[in-house]
Amino acid sequence: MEFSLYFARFSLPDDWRDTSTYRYLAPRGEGTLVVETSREPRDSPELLQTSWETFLAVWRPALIYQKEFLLQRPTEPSLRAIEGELTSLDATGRHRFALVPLVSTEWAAVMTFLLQPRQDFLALVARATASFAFADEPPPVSPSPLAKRVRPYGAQLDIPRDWAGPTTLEFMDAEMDDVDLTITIDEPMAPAGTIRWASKVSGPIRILHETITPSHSGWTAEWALERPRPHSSPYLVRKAAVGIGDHQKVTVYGRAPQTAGARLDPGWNAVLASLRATTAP
Amino acid sequence: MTQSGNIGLHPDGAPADSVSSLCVPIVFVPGVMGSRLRILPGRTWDPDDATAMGVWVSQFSGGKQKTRSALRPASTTAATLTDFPDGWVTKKIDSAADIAWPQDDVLGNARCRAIATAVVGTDDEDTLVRYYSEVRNWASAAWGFYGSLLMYLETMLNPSGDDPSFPVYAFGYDWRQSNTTSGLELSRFISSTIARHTLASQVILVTHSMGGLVVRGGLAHDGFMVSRVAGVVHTAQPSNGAAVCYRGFLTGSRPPFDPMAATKDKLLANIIGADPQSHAYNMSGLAGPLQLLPNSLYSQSLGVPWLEGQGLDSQSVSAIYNLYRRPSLPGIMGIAEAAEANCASKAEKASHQVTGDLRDNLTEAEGFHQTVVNTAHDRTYVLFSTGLLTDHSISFEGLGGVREDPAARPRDRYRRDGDDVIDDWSHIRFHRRFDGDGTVDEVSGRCPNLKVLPPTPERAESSLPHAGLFPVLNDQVLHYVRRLLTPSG
Repeated sequence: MEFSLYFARFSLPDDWRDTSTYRYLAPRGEGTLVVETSREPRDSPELLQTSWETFLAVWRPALIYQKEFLLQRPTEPSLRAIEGELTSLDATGRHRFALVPLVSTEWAAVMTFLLQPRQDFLALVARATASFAFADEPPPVSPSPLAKRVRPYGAQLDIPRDWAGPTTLEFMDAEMDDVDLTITIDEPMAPAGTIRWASKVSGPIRILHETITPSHSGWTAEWALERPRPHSSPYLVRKAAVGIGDHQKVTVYGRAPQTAGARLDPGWNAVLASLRATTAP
Repeated sequence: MTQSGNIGLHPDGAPADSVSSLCVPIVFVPGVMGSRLRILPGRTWDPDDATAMGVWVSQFSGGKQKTRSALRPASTTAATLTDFPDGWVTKKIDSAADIAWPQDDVLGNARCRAIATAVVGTDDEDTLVRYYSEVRNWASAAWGFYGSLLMYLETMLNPSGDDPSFPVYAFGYDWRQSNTTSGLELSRFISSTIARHTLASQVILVTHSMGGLVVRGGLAHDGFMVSRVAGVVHTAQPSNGAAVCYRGFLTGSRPPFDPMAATKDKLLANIIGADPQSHAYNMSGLAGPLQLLPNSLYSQSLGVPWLEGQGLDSQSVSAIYNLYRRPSLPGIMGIAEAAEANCASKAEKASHQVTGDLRDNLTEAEGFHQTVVNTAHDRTYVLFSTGLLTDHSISFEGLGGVREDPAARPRDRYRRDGDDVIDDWSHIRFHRRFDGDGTVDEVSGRCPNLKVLPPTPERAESSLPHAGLFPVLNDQVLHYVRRLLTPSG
C-alpha cells in the first residue's frame, strides 16, 4: 500500500494498521484542521455520534453551542456534520469548530476544524470537505485553483495555500499494537555521522547497543534502549534519516519491544526501500 | 541548609550597588501539566495551544492506545519546547502585559517597552519575550499559566533590563516522569544556569503546585543542589497530596466536581480521562502525577481519616500505599484492571502493562514520599490560596451496594448534598469544603510538615483557583523573592 506525505512517497505492507492522526496548521496560530483516518469502516450516522461523544468528552467545558448542518461531497448526496463554538482556553475569545465524519467502503475519517472566528469558516469547511477523497475514490475536481492539494495518508484534500501541512504520520503493526513506525518530514538534514537517538531526551535511558551506517542519501541507525524501571522492558528503536535534495530529510522511526523486534522488519524495510526508489521533490 | 549571599536592594526593591558584584538567577518550576513538551514521535503537549491539544482527542479504536502510549514516559521521550509558534507571542503577550501589572498597567507596559529597548534594541514586547524564550527557557513553561509571573519578576527585579543581576529562568520538565527524576534534572539545570553567569553561585527557586515536589525531590537526592539554592518560594504546593488526584480514579474528571476550575484545567483533565477507566488507563503510566495521591500526613493534617471507615489505624506511608494497592475499593488496582480489560491493546493486555505500570508507579510514589516527606530547603517560604470549594475526604459507607443502571447516563449518577457530592450508584460520599484552591486542600497547601520561614505559610490575599494564581499572586511572590535576596531573609 502506497502513502504520501508531501513529496515523499513510501510503501507499507497491507497488514499495517492505519490509525494516523495528522493536522494542518493555519498561519499565525489561528487554528487547525485535524484529520484522523482509519481502515475501520462505519456507517455515517454512527461515526457522527461516536466522534461527537469523543469530542464532547474533552471539550464539554468550553462548549457554547453546537448544531447539525449538511455538507456536500461528490460521492454522497449530503453529509451530516456538527458545527459550533467553544470558549478559548484563556476565556478571552471564542473558537469555531466543525466535526465532519467521512466514510467510504473501506475507510473512515473524521475531520475536526478548530479556528478563530472568521466569516468564511463554513465555506472553508465546505471546500475542504468537498475536496476530500479517500484512496479508493476518484479524486474530485479541485473547487479552487488557489488551494494547495496535498495527499496525506489514505486520503487527499485541498487546504488554503498558506496553511502548513502535516509533518508526521504514524502506523501500527496489525498484530502487535506496540510495534509502530513514524514517518516525519522536513526536519533539518542531519550532518553525516551526527545522527543521534534524540536530542534533549529527558529521563534516564540506557543504550544497550548502537549501530550507525551510511544509507542511500542519509544515515540509518539502530539502538536498543532500556529505561531503568522495573516494568519497562528493553525496546528496540530504529531511526533512519533519508536525505531529499540538499535541505530536506525524511526521518523514519521504528519502535518495538525487543522481543517483538522481528515484527518491525517488514514495515521498516518496505518504507526504506520505497523511499529510496520513489522519493522525489 | 544554606544562606544566601549579601545582596543589597534599593528601598523600592530594585537591585542596588550589588548589581556589579553579584548575580542570583531566579528559576521558576511549573506545576503538573504546565510544561510545553514535544513528545517524540509526533505529539505536542502545549496548554497554550488549544488546537495542538485537539490532536489528543482520538476518534478511532487505535487512538486511545496511541494517546496512552504518548503520555507514558516509559514508551516515549519528551523534550521541552524552545520557541513559540510564529505570530503566537503577539497574541499572548497583549493579554499578559495587560494583567502583569495590576496596580498600574500603563507603567507596567512602559517598563516592559523600556526593557525591551535595552535588551533587544526595539520596544517590541513580542521580540523581548521571544528572546527570553530562547535564552531563559521561557518557552518551556505554559505562557497562559505563567507568562505574567515570568515577565513581572524579570522586569521588577531588573528594571534596567540589560545585564540583569536577577535573570529569571523557567525550568519546564517532563511532568510525566517521577518527580525524583525531574528534581535531578532541575539540579543539572541549576548548575548550567549558574555556569552561564560568572558572578552567580546560587539560584532562588519559585515553584507552582507539583513543581514544589520536583524541588524537594531534587534536594532530597542531591546534596550538591542544596548548596546551590539560596532559597525557595513554594506556591500552592500539594505537599502531602491532593484528594482530587485519588478522586479521579473513582469519577474521572466529570462534572459536577470542579465547577470552579478554569476551562483550560478541565480540558487538560479530560484529556487525562473524563471517565474512571480512561483516567486509570492513562494515569497508571504517569509516575509524577501519581505522586500527588495523598500520603499518610494528609490524614494527620486533616485531623480525621481522609478515607473514612477504612480502618486506617496505621499512619505510615506504607499503610496508605498498601491501601491504594488493594484490588477493591478504596484500592485503585481494580479500576486499573477494568481499564486494562476494556481499554488496553492486545499487547498491553498480554504484558499486563496497565496494572504493572500502576503497581510500579505506586511503589515509586511510596518511596518518593518516604524520602522527601520532611525535606525542604532551610530558607523556604510558602504561599497558598484558600476559600474555594475543594475535595478533602471520602466516605465509603455504602460500599458493596453498587447499583449499575444501564439506562442511566453516567453523568446523572452524581448529586449534590450541601457541599458534598454523592455517587448514587456506589453510595460514595465525596466531602468538600471551602478550604482550598479548588484542587489542593489548605491542609496540604500550608505544607504543615515542612519547616518554613515566618510569616509564612501565608494565604493569597484573595481566593484564587489553583491554576489561576497568577498574576494576582505576582506581587506576593516578588515580595518573598526579595526577602530571600536579603541577608536577613
